[in-house]
Amino acid sequence: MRGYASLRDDVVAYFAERFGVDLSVLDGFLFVEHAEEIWAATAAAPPGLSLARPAGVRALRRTESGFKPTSAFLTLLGERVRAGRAEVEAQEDLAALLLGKDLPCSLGPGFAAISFRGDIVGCGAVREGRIRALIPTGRKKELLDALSTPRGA
Amino acid sequence: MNGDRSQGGLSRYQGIIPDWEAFQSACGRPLPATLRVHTMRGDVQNLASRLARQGFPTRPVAWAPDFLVADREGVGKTIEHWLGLFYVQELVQALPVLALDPQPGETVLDLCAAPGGKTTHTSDRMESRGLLVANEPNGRRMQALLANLNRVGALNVAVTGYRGESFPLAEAFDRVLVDAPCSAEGTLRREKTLRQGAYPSVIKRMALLQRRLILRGYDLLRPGGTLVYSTCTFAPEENEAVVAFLLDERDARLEPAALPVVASSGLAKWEDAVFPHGMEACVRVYPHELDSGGGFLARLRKP
Repeated sequence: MRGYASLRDDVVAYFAERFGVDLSVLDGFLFVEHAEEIWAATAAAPPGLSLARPAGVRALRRTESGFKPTSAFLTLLGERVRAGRAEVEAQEDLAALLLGKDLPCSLGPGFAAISFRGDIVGCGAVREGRIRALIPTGRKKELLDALSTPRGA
Repeated sequence: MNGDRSQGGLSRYQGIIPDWEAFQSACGRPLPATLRVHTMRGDVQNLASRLARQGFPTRPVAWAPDFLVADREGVGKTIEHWLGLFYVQELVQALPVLALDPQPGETVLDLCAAPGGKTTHTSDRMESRGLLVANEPNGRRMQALLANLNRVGALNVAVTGYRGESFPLAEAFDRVLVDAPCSAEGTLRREKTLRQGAYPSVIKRMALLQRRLILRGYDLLRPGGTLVYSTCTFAPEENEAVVAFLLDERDARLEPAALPVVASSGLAKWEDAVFPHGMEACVRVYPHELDSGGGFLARLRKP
């Protein structure tokens, strides 16, 4: 059985190396593994309760090739993500990603944080110089709706 | 059948709601578009500037520094909302959390949590430190709760799905919020059908459930802990009568909620019922006194 210190070290090292997240950012976080998912939290639920959802936010999944960060956790980290960012400026480009198209990307292969005008909006996958969005379907639809909402005067 | 709403309706409150004409007039006005900033995700001024650039100018709320009033509808369809930087919420919904006064590091239970407005507010007030258990037995409502927790990134919230009245007594909490299901008369500015008042049978059914919920919420407190009981209805059967039931069944102590708003006191009596001494510490909120929805809350302590 893997020890907690090992899990924590692996997670912190992953976010530091891939996303440039300062080690101190994750100081107050607990990381708890449920099945293949790793949750980040600032509190642990007592063992006497049957949980519908653990404390905190789903941060990572284990895949055959290593960790995959969740869109929710990357969005929560926000501006503290300093590397591995795929910057998108044009609304049309973000909409294209949300509609399932891929775009050119200069990052190396692996997972990336999609940044729209400075806000991290989710996780993407880079392969052969192109990125596609891995944001959950419902959230993609909500973001498309937000992008299409008429602005005020 | 739910019974005949014409037998009383809102007019049965004419003798207890101050300035009845102003109340009726306020009930017909649209609600202001208000939002609560998630201060753990960013400061109020920064969000106000972002929203203004999007065409949504906002104004501060003097007594609630983490709230803003938007000058037009649609603010819930912005990318800032999608990012979880704020929650669209009526001002009246802030009051139970202010009365609860959760502190960082405490263990807190929100017994009837969906859709999550008060849960996320409580988490924010706790600065994401300490544990907040959000309980919701209804599967569909729990989905809304989970979606909101995911959107705002609530880091100290665990979710359970117990029936509130049978939440296990294995844990003791520093604070418990029982924001009970109710007949929702206080939402009448949004729900026009409620301007005739709630069905008597609904009030009766809710009052039975509320009594079970407030008892269990109280029993889940550690000694010295604080319970806030709240509803969004005007019906005394669901408000003062439920608190009186708890006072009769347990050694609970009513406390002033010390809220920063103009509101009315709890009732000393209603129809044939005379409530225990001290019920004036309860808070009744009316739409003409606070430009929002209506509601009720009581703050109680376990000795």
